[in-house]
Amino acid sequence: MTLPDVDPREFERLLAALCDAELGPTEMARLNQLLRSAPEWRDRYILYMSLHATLHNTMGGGRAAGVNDGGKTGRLPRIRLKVKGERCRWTANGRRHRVGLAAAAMVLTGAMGAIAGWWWLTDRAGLDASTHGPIVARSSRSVGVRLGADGLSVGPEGSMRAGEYRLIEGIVQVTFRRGAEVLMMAPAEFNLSENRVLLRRGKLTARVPAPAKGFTVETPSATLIDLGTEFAAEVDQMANAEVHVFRGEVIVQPRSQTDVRPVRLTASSATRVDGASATPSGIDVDATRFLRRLEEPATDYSRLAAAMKPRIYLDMEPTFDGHSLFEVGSSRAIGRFTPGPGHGTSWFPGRIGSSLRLRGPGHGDYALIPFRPEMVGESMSVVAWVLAESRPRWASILKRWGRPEDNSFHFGLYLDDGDLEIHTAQADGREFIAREGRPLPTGCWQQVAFVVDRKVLRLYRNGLEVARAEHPGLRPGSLESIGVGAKLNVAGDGPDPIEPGYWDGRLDEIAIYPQALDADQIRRLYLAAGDERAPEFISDEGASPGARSTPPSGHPSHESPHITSMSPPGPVGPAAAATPAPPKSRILPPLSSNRSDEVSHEGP
Amino acid sequence: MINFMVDATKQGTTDATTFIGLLAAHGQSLYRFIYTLLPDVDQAQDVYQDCVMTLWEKFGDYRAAEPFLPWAYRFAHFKVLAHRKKNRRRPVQLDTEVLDILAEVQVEDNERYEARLRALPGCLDRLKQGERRLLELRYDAGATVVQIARETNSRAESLYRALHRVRRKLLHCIERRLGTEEAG
Repeated sequence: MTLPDVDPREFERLLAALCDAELGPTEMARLNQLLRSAPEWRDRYILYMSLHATLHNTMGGGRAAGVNDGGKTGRLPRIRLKVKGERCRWTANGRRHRVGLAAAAMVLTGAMGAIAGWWWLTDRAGLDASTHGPIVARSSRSVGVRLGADGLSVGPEGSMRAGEYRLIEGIVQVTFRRGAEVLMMAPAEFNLSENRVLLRRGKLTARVPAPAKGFTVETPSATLIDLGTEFAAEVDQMANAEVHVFRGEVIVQPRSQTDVRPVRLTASSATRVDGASATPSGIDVDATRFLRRLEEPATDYSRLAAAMKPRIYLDMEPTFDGHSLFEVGSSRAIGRFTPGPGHGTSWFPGRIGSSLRLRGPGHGDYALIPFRPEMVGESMSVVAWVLAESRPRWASILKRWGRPEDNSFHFGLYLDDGDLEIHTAQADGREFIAREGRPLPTGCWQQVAFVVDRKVLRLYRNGLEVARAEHPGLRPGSLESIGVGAKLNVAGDGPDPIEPGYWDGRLDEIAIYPQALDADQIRRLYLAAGDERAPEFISDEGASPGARSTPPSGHPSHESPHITSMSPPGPVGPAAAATPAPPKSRILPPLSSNRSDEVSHEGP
Repeated sequence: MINFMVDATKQGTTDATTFIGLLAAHGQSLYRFIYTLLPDVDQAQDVYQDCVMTLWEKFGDYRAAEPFLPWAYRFAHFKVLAHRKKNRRRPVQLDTEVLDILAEVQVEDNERYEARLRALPGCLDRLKQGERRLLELRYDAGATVVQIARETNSRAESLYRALHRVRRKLLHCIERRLGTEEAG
């Protein structure tokens, strides 16, 4: 095929621009000219555009109904059927229709939707908001939002009209016309109107500037009138409401038939108003349940971590699609978070900013991040903050552990003992392990870290070394991904089908460094987090896991560091479940004794 | 016609069942056809929906022995022309002459294009993780290139090129696979 006088790259640039950007009149004229000129160009055009349309329909369109619709091809179809010759149109809630025509459309839609592979008329988006009430707010940011079809959707430019919304997944930041900013967290059902939210079910946090004073949140059991402040509210299935005030003042007016005296809540106070009696009961304020910012704050911790030049750094800032994990180190890799069904939202307050919550073995939430063996050499350090709700068997923090020939490191909790462990493998089958020997505390943030080089494998918790073993250097392995909160399968593209070791709790500030950090650096990172907790992300001291985040004085390692090595470490994987755990702690002589902590046995 | 459709669907008559089956099998192809003539997602979706309703109205004229897609493409072609006429103030469009040729080529050569796109799933499986991820961000997450650039702290220009490279790679893979099948 020869196409004289035309650079094929020019034609391809026009096609790419047509798919991903806009073509100006001159470019479109050129495209028309080329398409007229030769059948080969037409052939290429048809294939290229068909591919683009097919990718859009086979890969796209399922998650971010309405809110993330800035994308030209990502904009999701409104669910409607126009009926020829009729002015009205059928929309998903059937509010405007002529009965016969709407029924026809519904029957057709229902019948079609039942067919496997039918990709169009599915329950993807909310209602077409353009036919409803006035615009009262806009969606200023969103995280993996999926709205129910029986509620309104978000309109052009993020406009949100007065009316009912049902948030199935994700977080939407709603900014009202007078400036009140509300984060709605799924699952939630709510109604918006001017400077007001009716929260039927779910969770919100609100920041209300002075011009929006009087911003009101109504719940089934109480009305909350803001006096210029920051607060959170949650309504459960039984219509019980909780109000937590972080700053300023809120008046809580119970909807009681007998006692209508309001409660005046000031900063760091909270109340629960039960749905049956509408009686307020004082409770401790809890900031750990309510995400109050989507932006990750710049802190001393993040600056210090970045200064140590991590290859991969997951600060766990919520992302627009709710599934991507953007690492902010030098690799610029994009990870993928895969929650199990019914996750609602997976971003919660973290040790710094926000964190990713994984719900343990019953739900199968996990993430993975692309990794290339050349990203690190024989030395490597991993530092992370973790909050365990429980200690599932082989709970994973970070693992690169596929086929025996791929195994590199295995960082998490040991079998059912639940103590922190780091486990590495060598090409010759030898494995090395360092274990803390006591269960990881639950319900509070812990800094966990390991450092490996050609001499030693060290395990740290809360800034102090808790175990070590001699070590010949990290094996590169070939698995092209790392499991976050789960061990991956041999292909590295999903959880291990037999022993995934799901994490139950939250993960935050996961950093992988291509060098061995020294004990002082680990300690400085630990202290930087402690010194730098931004006030808006912490709760009343002692009232919550976040607040109980590991003051040094409570740490067991203020005893002598626990130098531990296991020999043999016991297999990791399915066989290990049936194998009695080895003795947990053996005090080893100092490393200078030249004792080898290696073990040689079959890999997991 | 609509009433008939409702009755037919309720009663599970052959017409309704056949129509729904054909649409389930060929809906994507029909949408692709419309999109190549009207390369704008919103407009293509509108025309598709109009087209489906018209196809159902005219389904009584459809003969079972006739291939469905070429028959459906003719209606889709007219729907696109009508839509363009209604929206003629939009200046940046394919010329009508070009559009007619593109429609004609696809009606005549439908099976060849269909065969190529059937090879796509196998080629998607062969993408590297990063390439696959980029497509997911663009198509699944529905992000624009500019949004992806902002989130990943990358240059939009680089992402445009990267996306184009991935699509080109997929097209090469499709051609290779088809070549292998034909040779085999």
